[in-house]
Amino acid sequence: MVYDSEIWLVGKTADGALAHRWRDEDESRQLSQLKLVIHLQPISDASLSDSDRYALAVLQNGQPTYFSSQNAFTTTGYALIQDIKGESSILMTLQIPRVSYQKGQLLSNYLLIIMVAGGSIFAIMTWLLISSLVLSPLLRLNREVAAITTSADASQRLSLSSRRDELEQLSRNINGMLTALEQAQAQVREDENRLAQLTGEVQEAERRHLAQELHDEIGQALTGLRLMLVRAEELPVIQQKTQLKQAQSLLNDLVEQVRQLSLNLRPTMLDDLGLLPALLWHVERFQSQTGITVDFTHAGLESLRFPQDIETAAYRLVQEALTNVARHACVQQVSLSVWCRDNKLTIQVEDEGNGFDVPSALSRGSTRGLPGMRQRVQFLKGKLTIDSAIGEGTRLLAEIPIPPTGVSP
Amino acid sequence: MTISIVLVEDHTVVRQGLRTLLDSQPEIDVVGEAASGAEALELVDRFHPQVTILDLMMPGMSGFEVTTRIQDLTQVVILSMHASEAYVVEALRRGAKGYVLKDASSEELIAAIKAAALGQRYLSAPFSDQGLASYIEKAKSSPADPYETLTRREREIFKLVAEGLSSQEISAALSISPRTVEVHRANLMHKLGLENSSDLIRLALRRGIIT
Repeated sequence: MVYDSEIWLVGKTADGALAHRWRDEDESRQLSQLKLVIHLQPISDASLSDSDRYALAVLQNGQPTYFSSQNAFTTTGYALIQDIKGESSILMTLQIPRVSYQKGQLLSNYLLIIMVAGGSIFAIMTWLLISSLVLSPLLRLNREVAAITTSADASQRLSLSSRRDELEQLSRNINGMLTALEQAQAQVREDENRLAQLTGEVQEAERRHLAQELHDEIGQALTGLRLMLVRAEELPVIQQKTQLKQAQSLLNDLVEQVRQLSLNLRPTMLDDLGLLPALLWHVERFQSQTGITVDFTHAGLESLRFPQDIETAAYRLVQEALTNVARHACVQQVSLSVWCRDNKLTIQVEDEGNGFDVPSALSRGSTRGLPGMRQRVQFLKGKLTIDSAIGEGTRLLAEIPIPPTGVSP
Repeated sequence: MTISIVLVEDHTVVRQGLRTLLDSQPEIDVVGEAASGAEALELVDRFHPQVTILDLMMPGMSGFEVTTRIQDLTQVVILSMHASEAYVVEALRRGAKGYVLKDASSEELIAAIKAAALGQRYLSAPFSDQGLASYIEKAKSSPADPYETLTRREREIFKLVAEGLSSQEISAALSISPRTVEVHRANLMHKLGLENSSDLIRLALRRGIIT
């Protein structure tokens, strides 16, 4: 009876039918055991509630049934029952518990809780993952790099793990950089040692040469002179004069030799008169000693004095470049240009001789002295460019900046 | 009429030798001896000698500097061991009248003193006006023309570029590698302050290198 009544109630609407179809047997059984509360009230009853009156108004408007969910637990159905006269006089109310709604509500609450909990767990997991994969290795990397930076010791390395990610790659690259830095430092040290050694060797060679020159040439000549003078005493007066004349001429030679020796070490002109007179003198001497014509052009140097280190460097550079031309180029002519413009001293030595392979000449063990020349120029914050190739001549260009206060007339 | 002289020389032995030589000359009267530039200034100021014999190389104030400062008061004869025109030119520029090498003969020194006393120039052998003129010529700056700083090779390449040849063609024409041509070309552009080939052609036309 009750079951039928439910069908009757819900069967009137498509929604109800649909709901019925979704219910399984258990639910249907539960529904069958439902005890429904049915109220019958005359419509004229003054005790009708507001909702009852609203339902009555809707029903009187011609609608056969009316449902209203007043709260979360029950749905109330209304219908009008006609009396004998066929007039609607009794309002039937039927209260149905809202089982599905409550279940849905519960489900939606569960869903919300699950979503919040799931989201939180996901967030925590993600954070833990990022922390273990990225943040802590990054912090470790930062710590290690900072430690190496403070110690300034390029022989240290970052610790590596077996992971293959970008951070690991970064660590490897930093280690690679440290290796390169260490090698560069070692190279610089080696170059410095080499230079010091070379300087020492050059100095020693110069001393040996000087000692030899003093002993063999000057010493011998002086001994000869003394013998001549001693002998002059014993000679008859007539021959004495000839002997003294010879001694004088030997003495003049000696003076000249000492002068040359001193000039070889460092031309006094460089200090007394400046770069241009020293270069003019050197070019003159180079031409007469080697037979190589120097086509010397210069501009902006006349009567100018530069700082001593620049004058010395420029002079030595020309000296060494010309020596290289004489030794290696096999030419009869070399062009030398020196000019000073816009606070820059430029030296260019060019020949069309044999040429050479620049990289190998710049490496160690070369007799051309190019590393030393480069060092000299770099020391003055200048730039040395050497263009050469075997069979294509050589062009050496040195550009040395002149400090603004460094030029004096 | 004797010539009054102040003798400035820092080496005592040399100074004594010179003194002996000068004292033996009847027409020369040595009024003072100095061993440094500072002393020289003082003596010249006090005695106003007709001629000052001045050693070029002294510690402290050099002979050049002393010359500049006393040349209005006395005639300066420089005594030097530097047989280079550069020194002579500088000494004359500073206002010296004579330049005598230390190993010149005593006759030359006396001649220099006498010439200086008359306000005439005297240079001991081997110097000559001709030699000095040739040195002055060499020491003259090239015209401040950037083109002058180009080397022979650069000028060749400048001309060929102006004639419209490519680096490849220039390389073939001069039998040098294209890279070398490029290097020369970049250098000459840099020296001449040129931006591009049309600048180069304009300059070549203006200088009459191409027509």
